[in-house]
Amino acid sequence: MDTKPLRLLIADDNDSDRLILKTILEKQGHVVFSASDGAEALVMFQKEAPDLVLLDALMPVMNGFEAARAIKLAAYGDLVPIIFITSLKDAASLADCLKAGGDDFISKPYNRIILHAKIQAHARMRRLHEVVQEQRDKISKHNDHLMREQEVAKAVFDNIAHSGCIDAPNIKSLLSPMAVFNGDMVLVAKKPADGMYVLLGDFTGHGLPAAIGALPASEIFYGMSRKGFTMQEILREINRKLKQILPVGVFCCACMLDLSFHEGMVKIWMGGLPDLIIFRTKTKKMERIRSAHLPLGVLSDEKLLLQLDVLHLDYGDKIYVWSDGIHEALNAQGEMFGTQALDQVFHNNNQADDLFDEVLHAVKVFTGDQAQDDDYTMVEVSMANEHEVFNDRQDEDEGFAKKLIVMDCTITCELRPDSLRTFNPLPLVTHYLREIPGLKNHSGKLYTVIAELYSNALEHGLLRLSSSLKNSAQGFASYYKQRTLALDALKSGCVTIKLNCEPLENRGGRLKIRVEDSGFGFDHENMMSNQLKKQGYSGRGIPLILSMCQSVIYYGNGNAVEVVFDWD
Amino acid sequence: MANEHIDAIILADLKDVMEADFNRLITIYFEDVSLRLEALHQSLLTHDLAALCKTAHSLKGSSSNIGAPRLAELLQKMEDMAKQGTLQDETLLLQKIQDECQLVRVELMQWMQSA
Repeated sequence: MDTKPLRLLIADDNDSDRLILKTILEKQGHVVFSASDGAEALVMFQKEAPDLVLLDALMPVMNGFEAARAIKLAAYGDLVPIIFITSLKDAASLADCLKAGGDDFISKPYNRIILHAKIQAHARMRRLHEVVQEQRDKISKHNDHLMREQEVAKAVFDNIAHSGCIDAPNIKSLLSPMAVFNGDMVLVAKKPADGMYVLLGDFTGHGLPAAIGALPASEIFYGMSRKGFTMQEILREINRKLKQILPVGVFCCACMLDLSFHEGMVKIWMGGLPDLIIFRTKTKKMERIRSAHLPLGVLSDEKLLLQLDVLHLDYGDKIYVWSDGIHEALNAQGEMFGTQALDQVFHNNNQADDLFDEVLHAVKVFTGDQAQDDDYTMVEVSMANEHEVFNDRQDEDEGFAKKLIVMDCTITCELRPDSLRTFNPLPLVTHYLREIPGLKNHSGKLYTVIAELYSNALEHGLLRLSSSLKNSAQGFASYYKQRTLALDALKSGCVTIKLNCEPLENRGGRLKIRVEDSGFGFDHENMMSNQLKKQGYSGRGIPLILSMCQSVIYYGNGNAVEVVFDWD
Repeated sequence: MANEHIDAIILADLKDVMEADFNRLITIYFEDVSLRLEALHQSLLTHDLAALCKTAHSLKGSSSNIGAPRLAELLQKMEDMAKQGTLQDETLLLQKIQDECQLVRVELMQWMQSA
């Protein structure tokens, strides 16, 4: 039998009874503290913190019932078993003992065997309680720790997953509240030249595991956007990374938009998210784009398809992207909000600028007080003019850069068919230019110039596509289709980019950009005058470059062009 | 009603447990008995039923523990009567208690000496 010595407190006003009990218990190996009334028992309890208390029910000063209540109170969360010693026999009195917090009773005259058995039984209870308490404390400590970690992680996550130019005036977005760590991300980045990228991602699952994937995804998104990579390249890289790091069954439903303000155009890639809606502000017509791809992080790089929907947007047209949380928002009856209800909101709309709030309001009204479920993310992107969206922000280290000496160098990059198909030289070239002191603040402009010259050389010079295709909204899509086909079929030829950089006396420097293709050239004089006359969808081009540079000179058949860019 | 003034089994047990303290225990009990008998008497005189009940209850407890079942039983009667608030032949009962105390005292003295 378990007879581990215990610390026992006994209280009895009767001297002889107390002496007997103390002697019996000490013989059984316990340490005994004795008190002659309830008040004394309470003082001794606080001083000695015994494992178990034996109380006479009827005592002067403070009787056993009162003492039991006070002791249970003083014990806080600890289980201190109280056994009443009583010669009371009536059921009501015995019930009073238990009501006052007693755990058991023993009657006089004492029976040593029963006394021993009861004390041991209650001591076991106490030990069990201690174990439970220890575990509870451990769990609670662990939980506190976890909560603190979650809070920190959430703050970090928000900085990462809802960042970039998310405050741009043409973007409205609903973010998850502080308490909800749902693993949705909304990323918005300015492209080096014209336009912006928007990515809405919804990772499977909830909480921290779902959110972890957002870290590398946003790193890649911002890093590659800044360097001028295309949407396909960025998506491919994110997919590759997620596929590599996420466990099977965890992936990221996503939609990425490539918004071009100058061209009034959007390229859309959808993987696994609910239909995207384009709202034509003028006609109040809705267009849907259905996801045609699997989410990111599912397919290996070779199997990943990146076909884009290319659409023309008028000023003010709006794009709505959302996680499935909106459609699947539940009301009290467990019904889903659904696509029809969502459509109705768009049909009822009067003022396009109110649509975002109207959708949220409709979901809120539908779900009623089921506010706990607000686990959805939604973004509205409006077509705008670039100058409305981005103020000309200058890089911070401008002053530092000015002090440096301008490099005197030339770099040439020649791309042949295999490279033309797979390699985008723009990030590399932009990155190189950013390294030249004083050019960093012009990198957006230079990106635009080089991108235009490169695409002219590739698409018109080498692939012989006609830019007139781009004069209509429908033409856009077929233009990009033809471009892909022609590029795939390309057997020979090359595009060369040559950058020549030299310092100017007393101020800044001069950059000469020469882009040459091995094609047949084109009637550049005619094209330039045409482009100056009409500003169609492809109306950017050469006039835009002219406005940014010192000179634009075509050579040969028009298959070589040199641009001079001076800076202070 | 128990026939014996003293329960020899309980007392032998006590003697076994208490060892050297047995005589001290009996002495303490005797002092207690004297005090409580006086208190019972006073309570009856002043008709303080609450005090009467408490005193009878306490002495009953120690008497049962010391192995004096008949005395415990008489005190139980006194306690019950006081609790119900209807005294009847209370002076006679107190006398019986006093007599029983005397008998118990005599027998316990013998137990003390037999050590």
